[in-house]
Amino acid sequence: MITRRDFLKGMAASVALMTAGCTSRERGKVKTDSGEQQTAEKWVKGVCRYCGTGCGVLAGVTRGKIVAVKGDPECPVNKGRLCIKGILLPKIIDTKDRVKKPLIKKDGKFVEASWDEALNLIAEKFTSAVKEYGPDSVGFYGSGQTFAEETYVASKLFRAGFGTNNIDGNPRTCMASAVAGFLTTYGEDEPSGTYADIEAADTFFLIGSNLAEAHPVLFSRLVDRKNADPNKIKIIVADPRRTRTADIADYHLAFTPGRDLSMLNAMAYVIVTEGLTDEKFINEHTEFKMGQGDTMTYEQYKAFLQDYVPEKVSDAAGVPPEIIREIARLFADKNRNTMSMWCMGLNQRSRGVWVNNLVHNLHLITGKICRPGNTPFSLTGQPSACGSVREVGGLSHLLPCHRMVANAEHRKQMAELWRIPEERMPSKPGYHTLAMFKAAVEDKLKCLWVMTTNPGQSLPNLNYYRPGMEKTFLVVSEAYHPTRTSELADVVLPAALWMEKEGIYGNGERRTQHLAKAIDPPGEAKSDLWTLIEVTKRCGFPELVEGFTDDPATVFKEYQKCSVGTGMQLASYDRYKKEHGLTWPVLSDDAPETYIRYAEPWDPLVKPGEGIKFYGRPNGRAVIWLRPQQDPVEMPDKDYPYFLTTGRMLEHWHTGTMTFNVPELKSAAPEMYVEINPEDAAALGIKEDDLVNITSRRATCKMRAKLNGRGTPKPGVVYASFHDQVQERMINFVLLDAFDPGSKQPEYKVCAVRLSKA
Amino acid sequence: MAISGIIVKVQLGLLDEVKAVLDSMDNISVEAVSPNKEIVAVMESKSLDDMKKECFALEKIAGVIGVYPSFVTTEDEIEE
Repeated sequence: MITRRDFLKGMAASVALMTAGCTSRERGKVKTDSGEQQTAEKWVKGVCRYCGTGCGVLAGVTRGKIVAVKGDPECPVNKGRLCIKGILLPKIIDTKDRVKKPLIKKDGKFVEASWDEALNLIAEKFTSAVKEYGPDSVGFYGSGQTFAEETYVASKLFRAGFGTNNIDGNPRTCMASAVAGFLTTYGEDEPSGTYADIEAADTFFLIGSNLAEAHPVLFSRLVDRKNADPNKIKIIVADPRRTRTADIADYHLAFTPGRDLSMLNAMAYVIVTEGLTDEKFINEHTEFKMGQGDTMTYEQYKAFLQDYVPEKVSDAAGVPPEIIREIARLFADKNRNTMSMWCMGLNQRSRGVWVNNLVHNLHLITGKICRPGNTPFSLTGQPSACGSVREVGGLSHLLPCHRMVANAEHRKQMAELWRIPEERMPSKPGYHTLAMFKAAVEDKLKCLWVMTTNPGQSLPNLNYYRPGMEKTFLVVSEAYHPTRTSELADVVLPAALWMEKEGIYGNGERRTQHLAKAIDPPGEAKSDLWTLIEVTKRCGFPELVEGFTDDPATVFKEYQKCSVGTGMQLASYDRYKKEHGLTWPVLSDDAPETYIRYAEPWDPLVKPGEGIKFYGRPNGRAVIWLRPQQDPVEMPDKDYPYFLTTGRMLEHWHTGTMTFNVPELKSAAPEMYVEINPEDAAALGIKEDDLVNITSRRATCKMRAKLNGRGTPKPGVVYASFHDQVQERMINFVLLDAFDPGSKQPEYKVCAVRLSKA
Repeated sequence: MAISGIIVKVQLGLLDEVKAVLDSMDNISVEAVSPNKEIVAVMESKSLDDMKKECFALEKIAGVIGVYPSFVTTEDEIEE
């Protein structure tokens, strides 16, 4: 007879053994054979609520509460493995700051209200603003954490209802440059490969990504790959800061912030001049462009690269020329498969699109794409930034299923799908994120609805933007209150969280996944889908939500129709409920998911005999772009002599609304700190844990110094994580709000600061 | 009581040393070494907070690359 505790230990061992790929013989040694005991009354299939990896999660529910969590062993993303944040997910649910009733600010104080009162107030304010100031006086700011169905209804309400494209979302701040990079290179958004390429690649080129802390489960897959053949598998990490990811690398390139364009062009120079290119691939599948799209020749590209001889650029880039040559040869080696992975270090830049283009260039000139293990792969930061924003059309220039607002044919298609006259589809792209919040500051945006995100903490240069949020009529749909945004709101709507509702997420590898409802939300909290449908009706557009209920299947059915005939066709809702995610395109419910796009035999949109076809481009050819070095907008000078760069740490996520609510995570990292290179610290007389002023032209933050923490920036660079909620440590006050002219993504990753002991 | 199943990733060549450290810990039972040379173990902690602290402490052991929980329960706190 085994005890209950023995049984639970056996269950824990069994799950871990299975996850680690141990044999049934090893698993058989574990005592779990009581037969009658169970760890939970039921297990419910979901997806992790944090990063863009999209780990499958099984939540164990007993008496209406989630009492256990395990990784979903059948989910191909994580195969049962989770990170420390994921395993503690149930702790985000029963927190003291959950909003349980609608709140309306009256005389400067929040008071509880009924749903009717709150919804009628929102409908009255938004419709009045549209009537008095026009449709562009209202806006919606969404999130890569909503479900796809929620953003879909929001998009319909604002575009087809109010008549504005003022719908944007926080993916603008995290991966708009990746979107524009894919679009300008291939004519289609999102990666050609999937995570499965990790197990097929020999050379990994990571740039602007700290996989170990930001995507820990993918990091574990990378480590597995390395350990499978440590002499053959090579990992290159390019990052101005030495990180835990760099600890396992064969090469760590601590380049000067912003000078990676030079470094990438120098790699291309080596590849071209040393004959390491794939000439057949270049001739058959690519073309050359520069500027806004001026056609160039291969010879002109070669001439352009003459400015990037490694010896010429190495000092400015901060990487020795011989190392540039070595990694270029490794990248291009014809006997190896090469996978690039990047994240915010490339995207959050004033030339984010260009630097994305330059990574694609390396794959195109070497032909290292459209084959297993060969792919340029952008990582995403939120669980459904792709599925719920990029794909649904949750940005001001996008319509559902990768259609574009500026494309008249696409607007016509959407008018037909939404059964409205074509003239009701607004043709002018709406405000991008910073423009939207600037419009609030300038009193042009009268009403703003923020859903599942926290711009009052996450925007750069916060001193400029927060007063605008306070001035406009601000609705915040959120699970927690107060946040740095809800404190500025006029109405706070209590939102169901994570597995308190059902819906669809889409992760960074084109995988569409279903989350089932596991438990009821607290108090009067409702799904955002229900709220959006109710507001749409009360604003006088019931025809837009006819047939929609708070059952997301009713909405997904229409959304799925929008995907038919596009490059991202989706399967039916019923199929997603049964599967552990599918990577699109999926052309029917009998069809398999798609591993590699643009290539036979994987992509069903490439006809037999076509081989490789970049069908997003009119001529089927991907573009190799001539993109010169351009420095960040704010470089260090005598007054502000250090680069400041920011990022994530393992224990926390985004603005900490969830992770600072988990005592175990909060106590692990109760406050953010600034990492300083020991050489710089010595010169400034700063010691470990000293309180330091970090001052930019915009603001000052005070943080404790870490000189030998989990990361070490190169001399001249300081680093801080952005999760802290305490105002004096909210580093985004210090950051610059310059943005990429193409993607409109802010340059969070580089600005200039000075340091002093506080 | 928090009971968790964990996978400990180890630098190549240091598996035996790390395993010996884990074997010596009272609240950890090493179950197996996986085909990928990872240590699979069960950890018993007083609370989730302790579980988290112990995971972070494990990551500081020389040779440990990362600690990945795959299961955790506090279910035995709910007794009939």
